[in-house]
Amino acid sequence: MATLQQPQIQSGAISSTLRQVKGRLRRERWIRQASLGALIGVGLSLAIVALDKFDLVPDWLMLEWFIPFAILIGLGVATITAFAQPISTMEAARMAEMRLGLKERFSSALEFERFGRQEIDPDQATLLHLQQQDALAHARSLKPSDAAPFRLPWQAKALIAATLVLIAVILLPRFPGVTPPGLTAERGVVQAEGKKLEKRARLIEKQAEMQHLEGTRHVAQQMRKLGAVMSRGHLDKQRALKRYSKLTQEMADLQRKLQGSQAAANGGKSLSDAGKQLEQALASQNASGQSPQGQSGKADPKSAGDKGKAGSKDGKSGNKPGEKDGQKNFNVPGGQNSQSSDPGSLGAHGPQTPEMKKAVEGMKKGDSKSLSDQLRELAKRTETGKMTPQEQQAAADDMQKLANALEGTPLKETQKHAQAAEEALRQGDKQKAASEMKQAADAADKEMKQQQDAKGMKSAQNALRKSQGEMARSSSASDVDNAQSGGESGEGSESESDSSGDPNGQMGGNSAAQQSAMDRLSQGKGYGKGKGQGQGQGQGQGSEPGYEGNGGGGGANKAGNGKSQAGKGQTPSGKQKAAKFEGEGRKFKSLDPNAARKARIYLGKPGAGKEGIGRLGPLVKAAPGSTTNVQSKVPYYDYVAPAKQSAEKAMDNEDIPPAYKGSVRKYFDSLQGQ
Amino acid sequence: MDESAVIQFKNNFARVRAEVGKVIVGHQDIVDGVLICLLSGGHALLEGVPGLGKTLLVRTLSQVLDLSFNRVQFTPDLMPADITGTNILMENAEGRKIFQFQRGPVFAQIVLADEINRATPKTQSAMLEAMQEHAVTVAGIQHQLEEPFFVLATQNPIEMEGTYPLPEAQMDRFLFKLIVPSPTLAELSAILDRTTGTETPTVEKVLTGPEVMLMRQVAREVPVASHVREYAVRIILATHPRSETAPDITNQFVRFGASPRGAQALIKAAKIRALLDGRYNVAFDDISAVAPAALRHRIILNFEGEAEGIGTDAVIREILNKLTAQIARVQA
Repeated sequence: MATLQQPQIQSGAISSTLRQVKGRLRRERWIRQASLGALIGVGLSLAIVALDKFDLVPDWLMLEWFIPFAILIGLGVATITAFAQPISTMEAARMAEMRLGLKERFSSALEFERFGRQEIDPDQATLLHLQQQDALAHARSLKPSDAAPFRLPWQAKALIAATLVLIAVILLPRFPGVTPPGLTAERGVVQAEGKKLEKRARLIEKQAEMQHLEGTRHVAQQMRKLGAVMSRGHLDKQRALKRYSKLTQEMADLQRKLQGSQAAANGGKSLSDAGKQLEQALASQNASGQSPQGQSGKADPKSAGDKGKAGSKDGKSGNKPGEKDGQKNFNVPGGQNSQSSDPGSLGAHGPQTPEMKKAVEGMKKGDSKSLSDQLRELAKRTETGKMTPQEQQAAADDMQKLANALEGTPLKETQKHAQAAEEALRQGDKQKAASEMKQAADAADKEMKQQQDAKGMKSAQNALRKSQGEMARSSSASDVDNAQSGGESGEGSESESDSSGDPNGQMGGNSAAQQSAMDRLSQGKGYGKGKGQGQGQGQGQGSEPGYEGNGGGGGANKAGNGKSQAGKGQTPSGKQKAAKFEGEGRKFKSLDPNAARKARIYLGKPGAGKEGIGRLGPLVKAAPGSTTNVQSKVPYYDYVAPAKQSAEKAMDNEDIPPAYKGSVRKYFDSLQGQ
Repeated sequence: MDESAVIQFKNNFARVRAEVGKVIVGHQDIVDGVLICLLSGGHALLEGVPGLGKTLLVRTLSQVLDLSFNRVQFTPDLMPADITGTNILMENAEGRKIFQFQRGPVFAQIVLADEINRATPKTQSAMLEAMQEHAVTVAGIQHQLEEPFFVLATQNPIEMEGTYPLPEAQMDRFLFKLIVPSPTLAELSAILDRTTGTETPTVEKVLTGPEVMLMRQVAREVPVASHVREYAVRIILATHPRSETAPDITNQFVRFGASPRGAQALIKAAKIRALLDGRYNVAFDDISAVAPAALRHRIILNFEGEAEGIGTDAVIREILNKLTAQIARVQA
């Protein structure tokens, strides 16, 4: 046996060559893996861009950030992975052998190195030495670039292709000529409006945060998000309007939930109204020297509450004669409430508790805090037992009046607890009464907070609608451009412009007609467009402030001479053309019995006639041309009721801006009066 | 041993090949295969239809090598003693009758077992000890055979009537089973030229027994790297159904895989091939190149494989393809 000496094996030279091969292989692997990582990122980005086209990307996912982020992450992870897997010299040797057909010369030589440190057969030593020489000769003639030439792997080629596609998908729509100018302008409008909306939403959010109005803050956040998405310029008008509608609906739902269904249905009685009513009740008590009713305990406050509402919408019910409910008709001399008068209690009771007096002052100003504070004060006084029986009686009366006054307001819980407190006081249970008063105070705080929240939400909603209107108005200009350039088509309903242009620049967006048009637009039904000039002066009999009648000859706000018909589309149904307004604004005939329900009310200010651009609701087409000298053959009162019902429904659905609800009611009231 | 021995190895091999080539037209792979078997100390089984020059090849080889040569024509009535030899009663000089061992034809350095599958299994078994132990035991006395001892057997695959397929144990003794193909157009033309004229090609003895033994020793010293050895092992394991590396074809059509003797055959033959290629290390290619000849007779197909007509060569090819792809994938 002989020992093969280490110097005989010159594997150092082989290793040196292989190190260079190793470096090139590492680079090759990095390029391959990094390309794959980036390719995944680009692929993901393409998928997100595609999803964005269908509006399936959540708002928080900002494409401007997501795309580079995804690519960089893919690149980074792949790079780390590539360098986390080191290439050994043996691997480099085998790779080089495989690529250059070197028949395991290097790998065998590297492995045979270990034989140099142990005793081996001399014959085998000879062959090992020969093998080393052979491997060395091949290593010397080897060029690392031959073993690991620079080649673009398929991953890199695919990455280049995918990147080009991504760039094309993102940038092509922005090139002039690729996207119609109308659409570009439209996107610009949406973008600008998004910025404005975002700013408004921030303000509302800030205010809501300060006042701890959770609901308002939530909707403001939603608005801000919508604004952010719009300002990114990724939304076209149709999608933006769809989002608007959705958000508006959500806000309306939330607002309704906060206000309570009854309050919403009634239009809501304010706290200040309740304060005034309470003040009146207390004053009349003082004046008459008697409690309004039931001091003797005979009257059932619950039944009284069930039978009628304290304070109707117009506030007149208190003055109507013949009402059965004495609670309401406290100021009606000789009414039923006189039956419940208790002469024995006259002068014995104080006219009212001081707490209630203070509360009334606060309530009149709409301050619910004073009510809750005073209720707590009264509770405290009741609880300590420092009350005389007369004072207790007065407190019970006050609670009853408070409950009555609060009916119809959103403070239902407060009212309930006030009634319970009254009953407890009458039964002499002071502790319970005090507890109910406290609960009433707490409920007042809570419910008023909700009301504030609802109000805040309302203002947010108004801001949203304003933004929506502005966008619609702005984009209609681009529509006209489109129409002029012939680039727009659609199945939109016929529409016509009128003189509803608002000199203040605020009204157009809030009109129901525009809302309707926008709704239709958001549903992808298209819209008509047009431009008209008008100079209406609101001379017609039927014109009311805030309304726009339809009549010729200046009979209504709408001046007929400015009418033009620009829409290309057709009305989906012939019925929609059926309603035909005419004459003096109030009379109209309808070829379709349902037309009245579908009639939209065009809002505008009297005398606001000027050149303006607007759009009508899709359902009604006013009779073209002159409508003078055409008399309705159908009595208007046949249609007032259904029209009013339709308007009520529209108001319930929040289709009519809150600011105009009162005017709408007034209008129908005036019709009924004739 | 020095470097000159390795060089001498290559030269000797080339000389033998050249001499055999004077008589045998074409069949270069067969000639190389037979020489590899000779130099690695194994035996070769040649299979082919009659008239392809199997016997001529062996006879020529015996003429080229300065070795003793015997031919045994296997027939069904051939007895083991006819091969190994027997004790016969003789009278010595003193007039006493003694048994004396009469050597059979197996006592030669190159034995041609012509049409080995025509003899009965009993007679075929007579070759077992000789092939494996290089010795023959008769009447309790073992007789060593002269080295280098090399058996070349031939068999005809088409004449199945009156033949006895070689038992698996017998087959396993052969290092290679070489399939002698039909000559190509050019080869056949050359054969006609050489054999139908007046001149008969003659060959010279170019290699002696000791030289053959030295070449065997040189071949054995060729080092094998562990990953190459592992490759050979994986091939063998892949021939076994239900092994980890077995491809589908093995699982479906193979009843028994190759024995460890098959792995030895792979490495031994691959070493010689590496030397012939001018290398001093065994490569994957060497293993792959000798695998069909070394394994085709060691793999036993199941009934389904027989019925489907799947050859063992197809199984080996599939195994090699799979392992080569695996290596390429790992290295990439």
